[in-house]
Amino acid sequence: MPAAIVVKNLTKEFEVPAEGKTGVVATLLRKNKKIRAIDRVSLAIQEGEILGYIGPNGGGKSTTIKLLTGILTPTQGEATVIGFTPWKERSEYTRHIGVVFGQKSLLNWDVAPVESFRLYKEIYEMDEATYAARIHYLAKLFTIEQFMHTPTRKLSLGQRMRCELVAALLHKPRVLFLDEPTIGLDAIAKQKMREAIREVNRKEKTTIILTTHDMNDIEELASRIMILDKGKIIYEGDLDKMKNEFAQEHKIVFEPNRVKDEKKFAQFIEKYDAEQSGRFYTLVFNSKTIKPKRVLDELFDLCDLEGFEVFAPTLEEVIREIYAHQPA
Amino acid sequence: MPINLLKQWRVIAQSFRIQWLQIAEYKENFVFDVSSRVIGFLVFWFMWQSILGNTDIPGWDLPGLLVLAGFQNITMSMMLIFIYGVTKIRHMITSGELDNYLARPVVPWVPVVVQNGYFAFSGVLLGLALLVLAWSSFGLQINPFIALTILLLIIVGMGIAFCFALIVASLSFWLGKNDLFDDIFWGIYEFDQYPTTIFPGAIQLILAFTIPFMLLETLPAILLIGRAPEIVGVQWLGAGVLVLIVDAWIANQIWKRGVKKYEAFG
Repeated sequence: MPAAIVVKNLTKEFEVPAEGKTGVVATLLRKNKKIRAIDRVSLAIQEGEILGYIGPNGGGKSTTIKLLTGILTPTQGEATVIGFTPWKERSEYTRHIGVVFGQKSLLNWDVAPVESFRLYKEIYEMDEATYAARIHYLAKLFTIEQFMHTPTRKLSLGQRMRCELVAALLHKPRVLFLDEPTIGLDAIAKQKMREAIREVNRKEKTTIILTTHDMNDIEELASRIMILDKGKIIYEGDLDKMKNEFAQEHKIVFEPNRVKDEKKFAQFIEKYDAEQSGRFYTLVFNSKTIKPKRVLDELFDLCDLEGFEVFAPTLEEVIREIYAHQPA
Repeated sequence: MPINLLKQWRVIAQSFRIQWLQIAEYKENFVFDVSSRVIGFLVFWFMWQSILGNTDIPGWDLPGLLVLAGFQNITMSMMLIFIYGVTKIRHMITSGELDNYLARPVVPWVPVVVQNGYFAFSGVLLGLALLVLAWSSFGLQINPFIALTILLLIIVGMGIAFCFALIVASLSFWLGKNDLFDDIFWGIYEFDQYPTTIFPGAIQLILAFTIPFMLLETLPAILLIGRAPEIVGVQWLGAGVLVLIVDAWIANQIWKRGVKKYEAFG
């Protein structure tokens, strides 16, 4: 499959006030310094792929999106998105992309979303028939028929975000940039949105870059992830590979019912340095050196259990682990 | 820039529709707006009655001032379409909200200005009513040539005023927070209270390049009350077109450079 997005050594510097004295005159005379929001980022994304682009706040995710949508001009580096250089061919290029900024609305607050859709219809120069067919399809997919004629300010956040996505997809973009699209939504609204995004990706082969802080978004949507920190990509790969590589610390919590051999059980507890809290024990081990099944087998030999649970690391913990491995 | 505007007339039309729907959404506010305009006119009218009762302004009497008040209401109301819109652009540049429009195939300021401006429909209606009142009470010199000249003067004047507003607003790309336009606009607005012909030539020239009240208000009033030959209107129109071309070129260059400088905070 051909690459939809190719980025080489993309760098973006911003000017910010330099730290210094905070006196009245000193702040007026304060000079600016340059900071690198994005530092020689290179990446390639295939057509139809969903890439999860994650990282901490201020890590450079949104700056990358703004560079790739042509909003910002880079300090240096190159990028080609579906054959265009975004910041050089903005007016033609933006006909083929869709963007949703979770914290910046595409919809006019005081009028119904359908009026904003009509504005985008004109912006993308869609004819009436294409628009009608498209709005019919998207309204059904995102289940917005009931409220798309209600003023935006009267909608819930979940309803509004679904309308934002419809506005971004109206012109059938080849690439969709989603910058924290599920921010602030409840679990049901998030789930509906994910299902619809998956459907669009599957049916229309839309290439999607998704930035989010919600790891469920990533697990349910992204086939590949990139982790950005301090403007640099610190991890790139598929989700399973990342989990195998970094998700090694497992935890078993169990409640013994009847201990068969007190002495051996005490040795087991000591061996895994298990912590006791009331009737519950928690033991933590590295799954690379010992498999969870072997630990459980050992445990079953020693006692009958009232109950137990095995915890694999969450994606957030895995990402924390990756950060922890980064040089300071 | 003018070519882009023509290509995107449908965007402008839909943006106007959204603006009208916004007005309709807040009907009570519209009633307040009409009331405030009527009060504004009465203040204007009593002020001039008092002044003309005690002083003599060459070439201007109450019928002439009634026509001037008509054009003031029309042009100031129409200017509000972009005055608020341009204010919004300055805010969007500094807050990063311009992102949504820069990521679309549209000249970003077109939908921003039209949607966020405020078409003071009530002011236009009041202005037209004053012109009709002046025409029926005192008789005005009106023929198709004068009507066309006045229309073109107002369009060109609006264009100059918009370009000036956009130039000053675009400085936000470099300055960040930028209240310069408010300071300049409301300073110049003081001139709107009087016929521009009462000021020295240098001030009239400055006004021609910024907010051209001469083209928008004084000259249409002069033509309509027959105090100047039609050729004067055509001469001013020619000068106005030249100023507009220069202003539009400068506005376009500054905007384009500003977009490259845009930092999309937020």
